[in-house]
Amino acid sequence: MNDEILERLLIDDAMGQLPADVKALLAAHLASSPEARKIAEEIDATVNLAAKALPRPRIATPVPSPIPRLIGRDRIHRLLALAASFVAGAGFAFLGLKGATLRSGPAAPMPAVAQVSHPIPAARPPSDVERAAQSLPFWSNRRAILLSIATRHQRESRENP
Amino acid sequence: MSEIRELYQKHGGEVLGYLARRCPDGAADDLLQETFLQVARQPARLADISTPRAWLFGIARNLLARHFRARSESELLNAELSRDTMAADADPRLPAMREAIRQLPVELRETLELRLEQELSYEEIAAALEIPVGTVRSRIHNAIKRLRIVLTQTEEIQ
Repeated sequence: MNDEILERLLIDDAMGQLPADVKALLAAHLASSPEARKIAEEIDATVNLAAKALPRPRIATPVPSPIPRLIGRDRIHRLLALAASFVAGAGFAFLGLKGATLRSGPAAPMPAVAQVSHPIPAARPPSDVERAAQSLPFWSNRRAILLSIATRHQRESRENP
Repeated sequence: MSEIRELYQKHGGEVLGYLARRCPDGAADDLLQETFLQVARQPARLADISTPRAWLFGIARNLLARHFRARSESELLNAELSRDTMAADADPRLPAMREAIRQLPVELRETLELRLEQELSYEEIAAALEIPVGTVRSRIHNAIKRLRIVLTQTEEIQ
C-alpha cells in the first residue's frame, strides 16, 4: 500500500472516521506490516496528544431555556418595527395627499381688487350739426368738417359746462 | 417551539462550552441566545436539516466571527488556548503540542478543534463550515501530519 494512502487511512482511523469495512482491511494490512504498525502508532500518539491539548470543554449547563422569552421579545420587536413602518408609511401618504390637495384644490380666495367704476356719460342727443353731417355721404369732405366742428364743440362744452 | 426547546436542552450546553472557550470577554451567553434566536427564525430549515448539531455550531461559529470581526482572526483563535487548556498535566510533550496547534493555519486548526474538541464528525464539520467533506478530510490530514512532525522532533529532543 502506498505510504500516502496508508497515512490518510490511519489518520481517519485515529479520528474514528473510517468505515467499518475499510477499517477491517486496514487492520489486516497492519497485522502483516510492522512498518505500517509503527506509522499507525505514531499517528495514534499524535492524535491522542492533540486531543489532550484540546480537551473537550466541560459542558456548561446553560441557564433554563431563555428561548421562549427571547422569541417573544424578538416577535414584539418585529411587530413594533412593522407598526412603526406602517405609521411612517401612513404619515408619508397623508403628507403626500395633503400636498396634492393643496396643489390641485380650489384656489385660495384672491384679495379683493378695488373696482373703479367709471361713470358712463349720459347719452347725449345728437346736435343739429351732427344730424346734418350724418345725412351727408360717408366720404364727403363736408361731412368730415361738420363732424370735427361738432366734436370740438362737444369738448368745449364738457370742459366749460 | 418545542423542537427548539429540545434542541436547546440537548446541545445548548456544548454550544455554550464552545462559545465560552473562545469568548474571553464573557459574551458567550449572549452569543448562545443569538444562536438559538437564529434557529427560531428559520423553523422551516430546522425541520429540514439533517444535522441540527452541526447547523448550531455553524451558526455559533459565524456569530463568533462577527463578534470578533474587529479583532484579527488569529487573536480570536489564540485566545482560546489560554484558559482551561493550561491546566496542570503530566505529559511533558503537551506544551510543545499546544504550541504546534497554535501555529497551525487557522482553517486547519479550526477543523481539528471541531473534530477533537467538539467531536463533530467529518460530515458535521463540513455542514458547520459549509465546505465539502473532502476539504474537511484534507485539512485534518494536513494538521495531523504537521503535528506528527512536531511530536517526532520533540521526542528526539527529549
